[in-house]
Amino acid sequence: MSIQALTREEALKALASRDTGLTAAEARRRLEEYGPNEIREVRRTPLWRRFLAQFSHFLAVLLWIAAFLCFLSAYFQPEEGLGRLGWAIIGVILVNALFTFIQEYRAERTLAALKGLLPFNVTVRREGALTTIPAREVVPGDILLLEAGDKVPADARLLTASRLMVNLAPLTGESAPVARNAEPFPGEYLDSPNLVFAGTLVVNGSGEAVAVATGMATEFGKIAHLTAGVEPGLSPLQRELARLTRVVAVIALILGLGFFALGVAIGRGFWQNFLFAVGIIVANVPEGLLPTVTLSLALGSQRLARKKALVKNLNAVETLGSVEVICSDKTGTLTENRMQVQEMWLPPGAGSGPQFGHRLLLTIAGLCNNAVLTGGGYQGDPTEVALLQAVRELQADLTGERLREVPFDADRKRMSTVHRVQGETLVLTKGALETVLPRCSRVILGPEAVPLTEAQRQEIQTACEGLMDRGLRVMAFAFRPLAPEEQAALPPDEVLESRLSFVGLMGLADPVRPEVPQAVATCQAAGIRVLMVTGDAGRTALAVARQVGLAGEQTRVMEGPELEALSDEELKDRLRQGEPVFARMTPRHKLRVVTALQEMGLRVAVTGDGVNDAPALRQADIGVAMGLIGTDVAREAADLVLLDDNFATMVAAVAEGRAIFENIRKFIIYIFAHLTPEVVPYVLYSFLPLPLPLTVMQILAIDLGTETLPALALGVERVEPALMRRPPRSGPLLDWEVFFRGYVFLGLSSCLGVLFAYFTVLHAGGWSWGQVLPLEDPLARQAATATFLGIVLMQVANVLACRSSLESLRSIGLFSNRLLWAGIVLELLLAAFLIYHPWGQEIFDTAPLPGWVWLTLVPFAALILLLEEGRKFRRRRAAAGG
Amino acid sequence: MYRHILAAINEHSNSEAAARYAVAAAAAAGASLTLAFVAPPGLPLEVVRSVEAALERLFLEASAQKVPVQSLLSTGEPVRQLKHLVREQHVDLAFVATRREDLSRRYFTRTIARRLSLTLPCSVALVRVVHPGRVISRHLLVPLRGTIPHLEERALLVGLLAQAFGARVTLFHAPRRLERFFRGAGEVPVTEREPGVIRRMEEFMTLLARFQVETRQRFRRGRPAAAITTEAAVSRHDLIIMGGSTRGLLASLVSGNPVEEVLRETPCNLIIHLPRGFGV
Repeated sequence: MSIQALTREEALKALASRDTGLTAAEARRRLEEYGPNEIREVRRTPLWRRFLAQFSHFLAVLLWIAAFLCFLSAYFQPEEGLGRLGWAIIGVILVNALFTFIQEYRAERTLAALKGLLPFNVTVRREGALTTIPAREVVPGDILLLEAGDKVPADARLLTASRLMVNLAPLTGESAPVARNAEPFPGEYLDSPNLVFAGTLVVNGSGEAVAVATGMATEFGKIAHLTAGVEPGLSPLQRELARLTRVVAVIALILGLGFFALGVAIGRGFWQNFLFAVGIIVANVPEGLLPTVTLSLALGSQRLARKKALVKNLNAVETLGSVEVICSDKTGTLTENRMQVQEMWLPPGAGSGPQFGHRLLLTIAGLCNNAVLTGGGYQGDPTEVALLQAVRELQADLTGERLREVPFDADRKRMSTVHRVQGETLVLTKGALETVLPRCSRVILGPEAVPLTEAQRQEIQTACEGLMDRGLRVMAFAFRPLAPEEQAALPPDEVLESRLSFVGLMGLADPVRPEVPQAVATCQAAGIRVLMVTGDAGRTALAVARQVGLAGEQTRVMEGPELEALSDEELKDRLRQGEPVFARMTPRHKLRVVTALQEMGLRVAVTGDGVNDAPALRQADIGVAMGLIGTDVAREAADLVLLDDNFATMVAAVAEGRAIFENIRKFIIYIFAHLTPEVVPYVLYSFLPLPLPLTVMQILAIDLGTETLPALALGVERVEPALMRRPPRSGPLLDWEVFFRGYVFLGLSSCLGVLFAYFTVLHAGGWSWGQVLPLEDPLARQAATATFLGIVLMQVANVLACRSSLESLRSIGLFSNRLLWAGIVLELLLAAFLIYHPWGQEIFDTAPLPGWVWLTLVPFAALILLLEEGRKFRRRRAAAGG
Repeated sequence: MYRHILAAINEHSNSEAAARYAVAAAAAAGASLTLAFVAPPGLPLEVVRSVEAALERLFLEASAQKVPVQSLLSTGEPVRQLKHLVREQHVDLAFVATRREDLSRRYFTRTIARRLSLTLPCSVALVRVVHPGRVISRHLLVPLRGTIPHLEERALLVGLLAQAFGARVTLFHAPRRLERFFRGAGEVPVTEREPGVIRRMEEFMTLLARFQVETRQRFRRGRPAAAITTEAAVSRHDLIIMGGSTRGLLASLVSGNPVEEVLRETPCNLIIHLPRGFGV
């Protein structure tokens, strides 16, 4: 039983309903059966589970193990003070969990926006009487009464329809109203003209319908379902971080277990080995990584907001930088969404300038038009506004009394009015040429209407195609005076719109935004494919694509029906061939294109503005909504909102996203650089008769304290211009270069200074080789503090070295990142506090150091900078040579 | 092949829509059909009359499709009566509509649908109708997993309904998300990770081939229930046919129950098929 194919009586029978409607008892029963007619949240992973998940990912598990080992050590060896470290690690886990968890509320807000599109009250017929009920109480089988201005509360099959026109924009994106009727329809459900859908608006006429689906079972409910139900996977950055964590964890575990085994082999005691292994593991785990990444993304989102791109999901900031394909709308994004009449065309012989045909063309355009000029400017459909604007600029007089209107709809593609103008009653018609020209039997040439010949028809057709090839939307205009007998009783619409005289054409266009061609070129240089996915006609789309540099002379356009006929594999083949223009696309087509691209392994950004774009926005790696023309639903479903709807803004955001990824790489190198000088003294301590060179609490003070601010400052390094001349990144965040530069090159360089400070302090304090000093000994504390200070000062040099992987400090400007210097100053102040303040000394087992220790370390810091500058110079030379 | 199909009608209107699937299956299988209504004691007379009207409509629809049909109306305890009827009439497959209570109680505990699905001595198709206007289904979604008990019978019901509606069948699987430990960026393809599922899908397609229906395969990552309902909504399927849950109460408590989740969240009509290996 397909409800659309049934007759009125059969439809009622199939739904166990009748003309008089359901009884109150039956309605109650059905409400119990089908549930309330409302948009509700799709049951997702409960919030508490999502919160708990933050405590069970790989890094968190690693940290839990580290904390457990600390507490275990503290239990058996309380004098080591590892209990404090255990609590500190748990603090890190909590902070990380909270940081991530606070980003989880988007779907709920989207649903709130969707709910606003359903009506509160509706009129239904029950037990033969009309009654107004809350829309949430509508059930399948209810008889709905629909009038102009009503929002449809449920998917329903029309039983009667009188000039009923419905705006299906929330479902199809098509803003022109469509005519509905009550006749059986043998085709597909969604294409059926005898159905109305929940969330859509009745714009004209009236009708009665029987509800066939309510709540989440409606087509509108499916949008809500997809919007809330599509669970986006991990962002590329999250995946990269997960991978990095695994690698680091394995390194830490191997080192920890390896040295434990070695300790056992050389005969050291169990607890000594155990504590040592814990120290190695804690030193290797980058505890500060996640908070630093999150804060860096938050700062990036603030910078994007200043560029008119509002980020709603922090991870989206970096994902933007990794996109390989952008599926962009046309209207408003590539163009200005401001239609203008750019050309008028009259048949040869009609005359030009203030001739009859020209005046008539303007009169039709001005009167057969529902746009209005109010104190607040022009209001109405963009095409009609453009026509009215043009008419008012060229012809002041627009007086006429409207007697009737045959409204525009997407099926008829034309509109007519009957006007009394200067004593004459005229039918004025405008619309698409293919629907207006067949209704014309005459053409205006000079002051009179002459019979329309086949050659003239062909000439008009050719003129129209010429205008369309230039990207213009073409409107055709025609008219006819009504005979006196017709004026007395206006004939039916079909008769009114017949035997018309063709007057002329107007070509309208939405100008391309001036900055877009450059932005498209930037994308192409950056290896990002740009696809235009638009609901507009192929010719218009292609013309705009050519103007912005997306399409060449040979470019083919794929239209909606062609796409429908393709299998998934065929579609992927066509996408691989690089077709850039997709026209006459519905949001469902858009979703299919996005899914196919993702299945090809590409990262996709999609723009959208309509309610029905919400699923595609959610499905994409980055959903980009329009801030000006977008609906609330699209804005809530998106990851990024363009406050100026401008494609160029999105490209600027992509550049920012790439910079953020680069900056995250920089601070990962920076974080890795301290791991080696933390581990190496420990290793020496385990094999040589030395005092403890660094306590675990001091390690934590570096990881989570002193180096956090400079690391964050690396996150705001400006975009290097070369970034947008490279293809999208394909390599991982952690590659050999990052590994080598961080752990080996900078790490070992730092070790030199750190160990020098450690041994110098010991030597100056009178320590002799082989002398075992407990940590309580002031000299042992001073030596450990010297190691701590050494790492801090080497990290100052490292942070400057990490600002660029290629450019010299001089060329990027030593003081061009002021936040970095503020971070360095705070890092030094914090280190001084931990070394010289009694609280710092108590908690972190430090001891005051004389000033010469600081001075001893400065040349080593300078050496790191020099070595790095040398490395960069060699790489630049190699790049220039290669 | 099914020889005798039962459609259990109850006082709710969606059982009438659910019974239309039974009519379609019986017509495609050439089976006889019994429309049965067991009125629980104390049911108001007007409700009994409305069910009688529904039985009459269904009877006429089945007759119009040349299905040998009988209509039975009795009173008593529905589960016991229907069990008796299944035994007495040698029913192979029973279509039972879910009720609201099936959605509100976890793991169907103590619901009529659960009792029927557990105790009827025949295969059961538990039907949830959310869209009574789209019973004729053009796009069927059939979620599959690695182990499919009574594969042939599962394919039989899918094939019969697809044949009856002239529908296209999408075999679907939601693979577990699994990444390579150190090369996390690229996920392990389903063909590599779960070759067993691919084999089962191919077997299923082979079995469907005799019904001459168009089939295709789809994969969507994510939690199984969310992936199934999302796929149904994205690709606008109008009927999901899935197997029953094999998870016990404890496993369901710990890691959820996809079948129950789909039952609650389905965006289109749903049949949960509990085959007993009858009559293939």
